[in-house]
Amino acid sequence: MKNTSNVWIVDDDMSVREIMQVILSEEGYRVETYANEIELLENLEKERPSLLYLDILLSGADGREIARKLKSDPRYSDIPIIIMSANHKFLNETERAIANDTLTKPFEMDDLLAKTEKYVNGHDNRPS
Amino acid sequence: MQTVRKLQNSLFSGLSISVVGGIFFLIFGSLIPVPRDTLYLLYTVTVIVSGARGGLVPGMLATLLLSISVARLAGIPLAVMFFIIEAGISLLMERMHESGELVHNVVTGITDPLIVFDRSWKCMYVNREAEKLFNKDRKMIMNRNIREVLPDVTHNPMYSKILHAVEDGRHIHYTYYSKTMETWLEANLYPSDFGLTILFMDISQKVLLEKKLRESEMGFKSLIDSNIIGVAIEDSSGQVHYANDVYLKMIGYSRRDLEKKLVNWKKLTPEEDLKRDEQVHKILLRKGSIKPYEKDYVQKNGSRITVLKGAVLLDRQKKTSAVFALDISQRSLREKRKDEFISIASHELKTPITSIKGFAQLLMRNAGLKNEEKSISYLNRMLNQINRLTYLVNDILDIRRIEDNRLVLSKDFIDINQLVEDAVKEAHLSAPSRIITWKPSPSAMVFADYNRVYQALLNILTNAIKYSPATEEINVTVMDDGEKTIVAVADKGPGVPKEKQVEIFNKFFRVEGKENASMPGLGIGLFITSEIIKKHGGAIWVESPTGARSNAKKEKERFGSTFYFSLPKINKN
Repeated sequence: MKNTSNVWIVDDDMSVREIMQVILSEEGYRVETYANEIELLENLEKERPSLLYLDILLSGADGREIARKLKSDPRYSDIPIIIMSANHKFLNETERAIANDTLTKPFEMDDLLAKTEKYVNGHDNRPS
Repeated sequence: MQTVRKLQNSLFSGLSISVVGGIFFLIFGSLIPVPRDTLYLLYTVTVIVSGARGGLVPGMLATLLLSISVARLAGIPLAVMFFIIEAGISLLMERMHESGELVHNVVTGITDPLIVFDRSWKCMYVNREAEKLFNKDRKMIMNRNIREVLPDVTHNPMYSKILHAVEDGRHIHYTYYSKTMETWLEANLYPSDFGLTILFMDISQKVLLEKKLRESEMGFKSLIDSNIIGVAIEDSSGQVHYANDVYLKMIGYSRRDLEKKLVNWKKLTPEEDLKRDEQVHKILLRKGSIKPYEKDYVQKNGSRITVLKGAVLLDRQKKTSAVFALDISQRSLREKRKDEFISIASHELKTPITSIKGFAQLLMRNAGLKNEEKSISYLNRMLNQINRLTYLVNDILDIRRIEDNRLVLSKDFIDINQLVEDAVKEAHLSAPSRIITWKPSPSAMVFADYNRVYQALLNILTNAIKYSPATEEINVTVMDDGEKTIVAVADKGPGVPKEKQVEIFNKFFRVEGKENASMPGLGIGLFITSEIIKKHGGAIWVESPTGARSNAKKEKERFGSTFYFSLPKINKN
């Protein structure tokens, strides 16, 4: 199941994209990383992820805004989104409500894996 | 004045003497014939002597002589004439007495120094106050020349003017500084036919006050005129009556706007601050002044400016006050940039930490799979330090949040027992050799932000580990009194001296003393902890047995300390 799962990571920092890709790839997930909103939207036209990790503070864009747009678009509203924030683990209620979940940077590896598995499986098991 | 008094008494005493004198004269005059002209001369001389020197006898003599001469001339019986003259003179004497008494009262009633000179410039009267002022005895003043008595006056450049004024009979008034007395004096000169009366007033106090007032006015004026600080005068209704150029420039209004009464501090205050500023104004009316505080002004064009404003009440009745405003926009912009820098820097630090932590965890997992114990141990230490670094960065970010009042709680019903267990476990991970015991409470459900309370407790636990000997236990107890849940963390460290037990929760408070000189930390952990607890409506405090000293050196001197925090059971605010 993991092999078919496709996890996307949108973060403007290469080192974060890199470590997340390494950890998740080692677990057998197929991982795509994007540095910005444009790359994400371009690729969303062609393919759709099983789970999307979205950084809250992207250069030139606000991750919360992107999440809001995707969630209000019927084409993408069912893609699980996990908002990532380096700004402490204390996101406010509204910020939490936009996405399916949150992940604080620096994260615990176990946390990353648990959350990924929860949403990827949840998504894959969802009756189509 | 004595003369006048004596003459007054002559009405009746003079009567008996006159009767006796009249009889004597009748006998004596008939025996020795006296020429009429001689009688007139005698009369005139006696009257002059009586007027000039006063006295009972000359007065009686004058009466008698006048009676005889008129009686002889007019052919009226002497006794009748004597009584007519005596009555006339008595009446005159009474009048003289009245005016003399009045003059006496007026002169003695003057409490200012008074000195009177005759036309030959000799002193003919000096009152006690003048004696005191010139520090000279009456004897040294009376009958002395004005040059001798008042050298300061006669050496004054105005002296010639004084002389002319006296000649012309004009009143003059002038102020001078007496070098001999080191005093500022005001002299009022009243010339009259008989000489010169001078009334002095010591105005040193007044001059000093005026000087001070002038200086302070000058200071105030230069403050207003300087281009440093904005000054305005306003009233309770909000009307700004006066403003200097700096103030007008600050608020973006013109002098014309001010004259048209378009400037009103209530309009200058942002809507959200109006309530606060009205409170501040009430304090100003009550206390008479307000300490400078930061506030924003809305300029005429709508843009904002940050100022430091202070005010003093000028008129309690009219409720007018002087306002001082200093433009601190640049400073507050710098502060803002500095704050932003700290936030961004802390945020940026987290990115490399995320990467390092991720790779360290990967390595840890691989080492675990291969049972490489040494690597596991090293990696564990590495991860502990990475976590420590993360907490430090988070603390810096939290300080910013607290200062900006942005500490937002995400409350839920949480089990404090569970929270304590989790926090103790994490604390134990960073110090595996330490014994940390914990005792739950049968009921410990509170409405709180789990992450924040967890952070608070972990801070206290980290301090307990840091400040107590590695061999000593740390005990955590959860208590519940029905209204609140209390968590206590007891250690066997050096304790917190009584005088530091409040201060310890202040921002940037650092433990001082030889023993703890090497203790690391930013001095913000307990401040954040305290802010988190207070934000929950709870309380935080520390207890140390009496005698605890922060620099206790010997083991037996260690008393330990217990940190407590309480959280209200139900508080959905």
